Amino acid sequence: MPDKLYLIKEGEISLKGGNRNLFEKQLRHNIKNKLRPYHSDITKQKGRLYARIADEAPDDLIAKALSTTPGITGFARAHKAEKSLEGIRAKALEILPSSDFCRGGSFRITVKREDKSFPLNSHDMACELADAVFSLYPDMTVDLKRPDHTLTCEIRNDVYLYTSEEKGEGGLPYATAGKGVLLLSGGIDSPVAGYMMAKRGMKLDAIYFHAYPYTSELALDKVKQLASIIAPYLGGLHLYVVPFTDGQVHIRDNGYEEEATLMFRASMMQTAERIASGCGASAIVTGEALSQVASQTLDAMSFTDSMTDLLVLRPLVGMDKEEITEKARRIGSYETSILPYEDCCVVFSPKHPVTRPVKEVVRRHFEELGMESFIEKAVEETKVYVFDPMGREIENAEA
Amino acid sequence: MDLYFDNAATTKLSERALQAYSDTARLFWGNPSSVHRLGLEARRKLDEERSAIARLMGIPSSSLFFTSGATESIAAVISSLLFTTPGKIIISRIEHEAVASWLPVLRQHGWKTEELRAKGGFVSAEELRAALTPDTKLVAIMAVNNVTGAIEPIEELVRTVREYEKEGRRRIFFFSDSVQALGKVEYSPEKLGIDGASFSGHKINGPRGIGMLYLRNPSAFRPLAPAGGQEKGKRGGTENLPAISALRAAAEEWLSDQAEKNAKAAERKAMIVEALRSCGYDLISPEHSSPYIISFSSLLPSEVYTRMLSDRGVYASSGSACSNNAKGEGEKILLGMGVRPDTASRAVRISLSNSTTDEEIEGLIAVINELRDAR
Repeated sequence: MPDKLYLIKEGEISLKGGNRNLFEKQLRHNIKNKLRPYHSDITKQKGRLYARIADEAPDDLIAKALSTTPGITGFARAHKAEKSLEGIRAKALEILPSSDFCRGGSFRITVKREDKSFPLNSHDMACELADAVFSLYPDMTVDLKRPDHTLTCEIRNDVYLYTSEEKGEGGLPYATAGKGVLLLSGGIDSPVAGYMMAKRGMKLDAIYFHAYPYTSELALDKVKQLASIIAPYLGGLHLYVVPFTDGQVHIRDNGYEEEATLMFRASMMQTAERIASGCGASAIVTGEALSQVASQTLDAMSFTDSMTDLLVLRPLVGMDKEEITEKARRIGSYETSILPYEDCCVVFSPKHPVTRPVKEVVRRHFEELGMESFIEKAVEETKVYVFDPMGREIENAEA
Repeated sequence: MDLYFDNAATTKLSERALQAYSDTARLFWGNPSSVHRLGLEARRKLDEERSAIARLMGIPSSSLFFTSGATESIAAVISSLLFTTPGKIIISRIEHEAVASWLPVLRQHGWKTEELRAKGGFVSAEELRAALTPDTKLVAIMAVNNVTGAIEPIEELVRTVREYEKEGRRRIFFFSDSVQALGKVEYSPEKLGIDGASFSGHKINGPRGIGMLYLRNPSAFRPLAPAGGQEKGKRGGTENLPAISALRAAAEEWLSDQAEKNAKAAERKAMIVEALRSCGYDLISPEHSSPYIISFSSLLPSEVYTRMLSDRGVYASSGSACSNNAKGEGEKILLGMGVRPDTASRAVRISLSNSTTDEEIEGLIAVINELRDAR
C-alpha cells in the first residue's frame, strides 16, 4: 500500500543531551497516537523524522495533527522521486501545480545532495529544477534571499521533493514533563494556560466547576468545546466537571460576602488536589494573571497557594490581556471563550471583594466554613468527559 | 409533565392547523400564479383563506397580505421609506427589535428618529404630540408589549396623530406591531384607525413562517421591490398556501368566542399573580395588560430562576440574559419603560395560550410555591 511521506523537524529536542532519546520516543508516540486509526510509521534519519502515513489519511487531518503537536517545529509533505535527473524533474512537474507555486511570485530551489555519487551537483540540479518551474510558470522570478515559495530536493539514499514547509508548535512533546490538572473556566485565559504548559511537555487533565442552575448548561457546553479545542495541543484530556452549586450556596449563605471568591478559590484548590491525586497529577495549572481581578492579587494568590500542597503553576502570571488574547486567537479558543455564557453567577460574586486578604484570617474563616463535606460530595459526583488527541469527545469512555 | 408557559415566544401548532396544512399541501400544490387548472384551484383556495381570515379579524380581505412573519411585515413597511425623501420616524422605547433595529439603518439614510419613553409601560399621547414634526412620516407603536403585556393606548395615539395632520400637515403613517394583540385583547385595526399592522401565525397556535400585513389603504403602499408581483404587488414570492390554510384553521379556533377565552385567561392570570404576590415577588406587568402575559421579578437573576422552573418542568421566558456581554431584548424593553436595572435583571415572563389547561395552571402555581425561598 502506498504511503504519504512527511518530513518532520524537531526543534528544542535536538538540543537535549543524554535523554534526547526519551523525548524523541515520546514525540513519535504522540504523533502516532494522534494519527490513529490511520497507520503510521516514524523513523529517524540524520536529525529528521520521517513519517510514513497510510494513504487513506486525509491531508487536512495530517496537517492538523502535526501542526498542533508540541515538539515539532516544522513539517512538509515529501514526495519520493525516482533517483535520476528525469525522474526528479518529472516528479517536480507533477507536484508543483497542487502546491503554492501555482499562486505565482518568487521562488528558490534548495538542493541537499548528501549522496555524493549522484551525477549532478547541487547547483546543476537546482538549475534543472528551476527550468522545470519556468516551464510551468514562466512569469515567476527567482529570489534566493526572500522567496515566496521554496522547492527543496533532498538527495540521500532516496530522493525527496517538497515545497512549502508548514510551521509547527515548537516546544517539547507533552507527557515528557509530568502531569498536572488545569483549572478550566469558560474564559479566555485558562485554555491558553493549558496550551502553554503542554508545550513545555506537561500532560494535562482539566477541571471545571459547574454551578447549575446558577450557570447554564450552555456554559458547560462551552467548556466542553474549549476542552475539545485545546485537546490536540495536550494530546487529549479528561475533563472533570465538578458540580459545586451546594458549596457555592453554602459559602454565600455562611461566609463573609467580600471573601466569597477567595473561599471558592480555596475550595477549588482542595477539590483539584483530590482529583489530581486520583489521576496521578502533581501540579495545578491556572490561568491567573497578576492583578487581573480581585482574586488574582499577590495576597490573594498567596492565600490560594497556601490551600494546597501541590505546586501551583500560573504560566500567564506576567502576561497582559492582549498577549493572552493573541495566543487564544492563535490556538483557536478565543471565539468560543467570548461566547456570552458566564461561568460564575452574579449571586456568588461579591460587590466589593477583598483584594489584600490577611492569609491567617482568611484561612481561619475558610476552616470555620467547613467546606470538607461539600468538597467530598462534589468530587464524588464529578462527571468525566474524555477527549482524544484530535479533540473528539469519546462517548462512554472509561474515566 | 411539561408545563409550557412561553406562549408569547411561540405556541404549539394546533392539530387542526396541522391537518389543514397537510390537506392543502396535498390537494392545492399548484402555484397560485399559474394559468393552468392546478394554479387556478390554488388561487381560489388562497382567496378563500384570505377572505376567511379577514372576516375573522373584521377587516376587508383587500387589506390583508400574507408574509413570512411579522418581522417581514414590519420590514416591508419600514423599508418602503428608504427611497422616499428622508423625514422623521417616531417609535417607542419598548418596540420589538423587528422595529427598533431599523432605526440605525434609517439614520444612515438621513432620517431623523425618536424613541418615546413608555413610563410604567405606556406611551403617552402628550409625549407623542410633542415629538411630532412637520416632516414626520411614520409613527410605529406596538399594540401590546411582548414583555409586559401592556396594552398601549393606540386609539388615543392615533387620534393625536390625526389631529396633528388636521393642522394642514402631511399624512403620517401610523403603524402598529400587533403580534401580541390579535386574539389576546379586544382589537380591531379599523376601529383603532391605524394605517398598518403586523401579525404572526405562530403566536395563535398557527405555524411559523407565516405572518400577515394589514394595510388600511393598500393602493398608497409601494414596497421596496414588488419582486414577482404576488399579493397584489405588495409582497413578492410564491404564496405559502399550506401555511396560510393552517393559519386560517388556527385563527378559526383562536378567534371564535374570543371574549370568553380572554376572560378565562384573565381569571388564570389573576390566580398566578396571587401566587407570585404571596411569594413577595414584584409584578412588572401593569394593570392594563394582556391577560396572556405576566411579567414579574423574582429574587434571582432571570436566567437562574428560569432554569429552576425548567428543572421542574415549567417553561417560561427569562426577561434578561445572564451576561456581561449582551443585554437581552426583554431587559432593554424593561429599562425603556423605567424599570430599575436590578429589577429588570430578575424579570421573568409567564405567558398563556388558549390551549393552556387548568392542570398546567395548578402545576405552575405549585412550582412557584415550591421555589418561594429560592435565592
